[in-house]
Amino acid sequence: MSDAVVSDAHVRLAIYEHFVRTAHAPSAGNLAANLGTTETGVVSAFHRLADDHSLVLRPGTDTILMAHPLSADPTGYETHIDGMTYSPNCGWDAMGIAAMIGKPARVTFRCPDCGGPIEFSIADGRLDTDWLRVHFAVPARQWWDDIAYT
Amino acid sequence: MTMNLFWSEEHVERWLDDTGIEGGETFSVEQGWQLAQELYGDRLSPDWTRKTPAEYEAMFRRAGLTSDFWSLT
Repeated sequence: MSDAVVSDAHVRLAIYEHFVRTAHAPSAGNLAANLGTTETGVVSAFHRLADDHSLVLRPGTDTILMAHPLSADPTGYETHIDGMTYSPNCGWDAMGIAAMIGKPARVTFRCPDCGGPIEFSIADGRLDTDWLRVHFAVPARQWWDDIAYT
Repeated sequence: MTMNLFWSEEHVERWLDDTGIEGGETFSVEQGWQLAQELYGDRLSPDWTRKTPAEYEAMFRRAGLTSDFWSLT
């Protein structure tokens, strides 16, 4: 296999394509094999993308935690599309996955207050609910101070 | 994780009381959907680039979110 030089943009897109296809975050080894380049090169790209806030790695590792709106870990929110179940990073990202993939979606979660199950659908660019409320606790300029908390 | 969806304003207020989280901003799910489309609609494009702070602020304004909470500059 040749060790192709791939751009950060190419690595970023490959991350998303893998994540959307499998609902799981790729490892650097996965991507290196698919891109025909070295794992070291992909790891370096991961860190540059993380420095740019285009990706979030697990602290102290080379492993993807977030490729917004997708999360590698369960969060209590789920976005269901075409038989796949994706984990968003938060309530906003639950809708973000539907916007990103552009197909009919169903969002499921529990109200953070009462624990009651809530479900709504998105199709043709429209929600089938208008009564839910969204709450953001952290001001926009502080979102990246602690992105996991945000 | 503090970007959440709730049954209603009443549930938001009770959750804030229970968690001790202060303030923040509450808005409609339609506004959240508008933000989701603007922020993530092009995320799978090979040409995607991260929005600038000014572009974020313009996105918030288009969704009717105009308080200092949404300021990035």
